[in-house]
Amino acid sequence: MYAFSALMIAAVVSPALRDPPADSFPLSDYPMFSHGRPTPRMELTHALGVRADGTRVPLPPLVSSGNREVLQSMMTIHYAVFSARRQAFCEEVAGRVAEAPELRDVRAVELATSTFDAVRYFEASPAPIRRTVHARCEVRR
Amino acid sequence: MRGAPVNAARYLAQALDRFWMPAAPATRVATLRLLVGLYGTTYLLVRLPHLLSYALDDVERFRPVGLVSLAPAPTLPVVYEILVWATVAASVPFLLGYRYRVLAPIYAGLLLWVLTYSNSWGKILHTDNLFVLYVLVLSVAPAADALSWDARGRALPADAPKYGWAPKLMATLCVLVYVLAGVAKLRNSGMDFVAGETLRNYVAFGNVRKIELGSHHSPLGVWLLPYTGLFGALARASLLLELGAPVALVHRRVGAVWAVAVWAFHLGVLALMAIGFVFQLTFVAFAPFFRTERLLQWRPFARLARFHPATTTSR
Repeated sequence: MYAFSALMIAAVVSPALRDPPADSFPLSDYPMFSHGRPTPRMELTHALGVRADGTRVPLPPLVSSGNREVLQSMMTIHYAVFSARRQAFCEEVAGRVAEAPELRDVRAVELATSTFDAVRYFEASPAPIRRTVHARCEVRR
Repeated sequence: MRGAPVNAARYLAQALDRFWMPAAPATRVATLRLLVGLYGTTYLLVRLPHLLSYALDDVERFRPVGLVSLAPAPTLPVVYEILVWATVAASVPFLLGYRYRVLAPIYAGLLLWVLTYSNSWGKILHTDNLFVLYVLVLSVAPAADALSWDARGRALPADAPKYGWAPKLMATLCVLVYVLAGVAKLRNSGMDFVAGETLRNYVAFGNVRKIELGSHHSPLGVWLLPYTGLFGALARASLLLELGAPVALVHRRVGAVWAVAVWAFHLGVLALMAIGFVFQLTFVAFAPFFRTERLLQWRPFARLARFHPATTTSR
């Protein structure tokens, strides 16, 4: 039992002893929320629904990526946007929007990278400081 | 003179045995199996649609981690789906303690593969790490010698060191996970983390990210953003809990206090950032810091003692 215990302890500690430390599963150096974040400025690549009046609504994970997990959804969008299949991915999202009754006012989908001031977002306005649209496609119903 | 080092070594070995393998009732590790097993079966059933959603053959998105890195390409979707269903099925005999010596390691292996695979698509989530580690430990521990299908009708075994090491190892792994998280904060942001600005920005960032990805955010976290000093205090408290985690192994009562404090910390993360570490929030993650066999004294659990003839629940 000592050998098994030592093995488990060594395995759990090992990611932190690597150079650079390794984040994996189920062994990790647990880097979440550990990096310095001296300013509230942030960049996010996400999927937006565009309404007829031009306003935009963030699309929920199940619609934007077919996945319930928010952070997995974020990575799915990120990889798709920065790959050759961004337009095809946009069409896929638009197809899911067309099937979502709660999004019937959405006319188009945009895949965009937005820059926000996260504190100002709540204290003043949620408008992005900058937004780059990578792909846009219409919702066909 | 040669006897002195031998005696010292013997004394140290005995001290290590007392610490690492204290004589414990079989019901302690068995109740841990029941708690982790019940959590596992419930969690897998609730997360079934999510887990099945990774039955993908999208090579571009595949970012294998851990054990899955050994595979050159995504598993065939149908094979992965079978493995997910097999994991759900294998969680039941683990919970019941049925043919435990054979089926528990199989469950541990399946769970490790399926959860690693679901983390192999670009984003590693850290919510299941401790759960998997606990199942791995319990799968090789004598956790079905009591309160199990395998042990039904048998007299309850006497207290023994072989029932003490698994809870100790589980508690140690839990402590190490938090120490590593604390070390990562110091390594990656130094003492800037305790200044509070970093944590405040993380809370704001986390909530904006949730909203802009179409999910739920924490109104409480947003409401507290103007109180910068509060985030400094929270940052110091969380770092203290993480780096000070080893004290939880020194004494059982200290461990219990630490466990409750870390549970409260996770409650705070949920309240401020809408991020739920489910295994921790259910408190099952902290069960190894307690004499879980005492659960059998509670009426809802007392029936479990009927697995064994002439069992008393006063241990």
